[in-house]
Amino acid sequence: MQSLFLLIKRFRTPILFLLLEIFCLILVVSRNRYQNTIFYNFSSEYTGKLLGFSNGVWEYFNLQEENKKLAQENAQLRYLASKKQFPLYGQNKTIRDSSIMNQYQFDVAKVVNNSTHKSNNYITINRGRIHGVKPGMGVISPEGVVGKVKSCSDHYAIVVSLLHSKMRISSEVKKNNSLGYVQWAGGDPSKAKMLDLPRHLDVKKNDTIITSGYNSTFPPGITIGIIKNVGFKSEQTFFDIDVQLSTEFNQLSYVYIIKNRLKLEQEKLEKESFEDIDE
Amino acid sequence: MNNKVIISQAIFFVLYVVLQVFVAKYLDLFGVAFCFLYINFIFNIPYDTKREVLLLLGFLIGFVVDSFYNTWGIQSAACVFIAFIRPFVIKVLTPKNAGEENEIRDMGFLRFALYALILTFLHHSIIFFIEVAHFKYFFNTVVKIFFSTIFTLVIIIIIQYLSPKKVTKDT
Repeated sequence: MQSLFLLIKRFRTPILFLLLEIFCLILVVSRNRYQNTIFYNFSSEYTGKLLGFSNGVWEYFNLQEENKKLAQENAQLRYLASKKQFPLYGQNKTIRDSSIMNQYQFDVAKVVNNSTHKSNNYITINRGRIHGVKPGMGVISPEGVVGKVKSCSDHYAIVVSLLHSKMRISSEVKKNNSLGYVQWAGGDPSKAKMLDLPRHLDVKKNDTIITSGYNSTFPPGITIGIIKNVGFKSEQTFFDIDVQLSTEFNQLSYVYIIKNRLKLEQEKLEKESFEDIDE
Repeated sequence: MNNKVIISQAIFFVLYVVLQVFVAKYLDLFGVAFCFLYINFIFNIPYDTKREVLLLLGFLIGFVVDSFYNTWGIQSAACVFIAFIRPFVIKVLTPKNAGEENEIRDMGFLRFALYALILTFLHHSIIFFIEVAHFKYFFNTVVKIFFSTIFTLVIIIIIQYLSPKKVTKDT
């Protein structure tokens, strides 16, 4: 410590000089608009390069995690591919109708805006009308269900997140195909409720919940989450089920938009038929 | 340093600032030659002043002039620099066989002119380069530095040799 003070005392003039110059330059940069602009343009170019480099290095550390995710997604895709061939019963051979085989088309989109802390959350993605996105399409992530397209502009679309108080997704328990629907209860972005599941069914903790085929938005069999807790109140006829959502809404980056090519046909038919009956 | 010197330096300080911000600020020749005569204050601070005091005085006058020019920090940076470099320049310019000199005035015309030229050139280089903050206008800046140095130098030498000798001799 003593020697440090001696050193400072000995070099007090250069030190004072440096301090004053640094102070002056800080003044120059902070108080003069023109110099300020030049300085920040200059420095942002280099900090940008530096950050890009460090990002590149960090990506290597996450490779294992990424690999795992990709492998899981591969498995999921294989499963989907195997399910896509709709066998038509009553005939000896399966007819491969191209419109049915490719009933669902997937398009990748990047999440550009996202929230999880509000009571009604929306997600913005960078695909829009130009890319063929229409309101009503389903959106999933590699891990599970994300939401439903609400509106779209030319290049962007707004997705109603599953974390929305009015969002309900028709779903079923994978084990025994018992039907209910999943709705977010608010608060924790990783938990939701499964409703309308009658009490006589056999439902246990850690059962997987998937989308049912009974809607035109999501293809059947997409993971929503797993059952965290099965409870019931004596006066109710339904289970009170807590679901751990498989999608991590806080870390959403890439999502898939599901285009159901037969959606219009299905809805039209349903609408016409119900109208007939009503009349 | 006695009180007399301090008072006379304070008067010079105010005088140079007033001269700079009310007169010299409006002197510019053809848009390339500007006058910063106030740095003559730094040139004329007595020899025996401590170097830290020299730096602080340089910073102070630069800061005051900056506040009138609305160019925060530019003049101060240049002034601190020439105040720092001043002792070295004097050392280089003093011949080995010369006796003890106590006054800037004892330098003689030629040596004072050289001394002022070096410091003025450095000061102007710093302020003009900070002002454009870019090497894109390198040639323009060099032209400005060149003509402004000549202009300021002429004015400083006129002031130096026109002011009554008594004022500085007595102190």
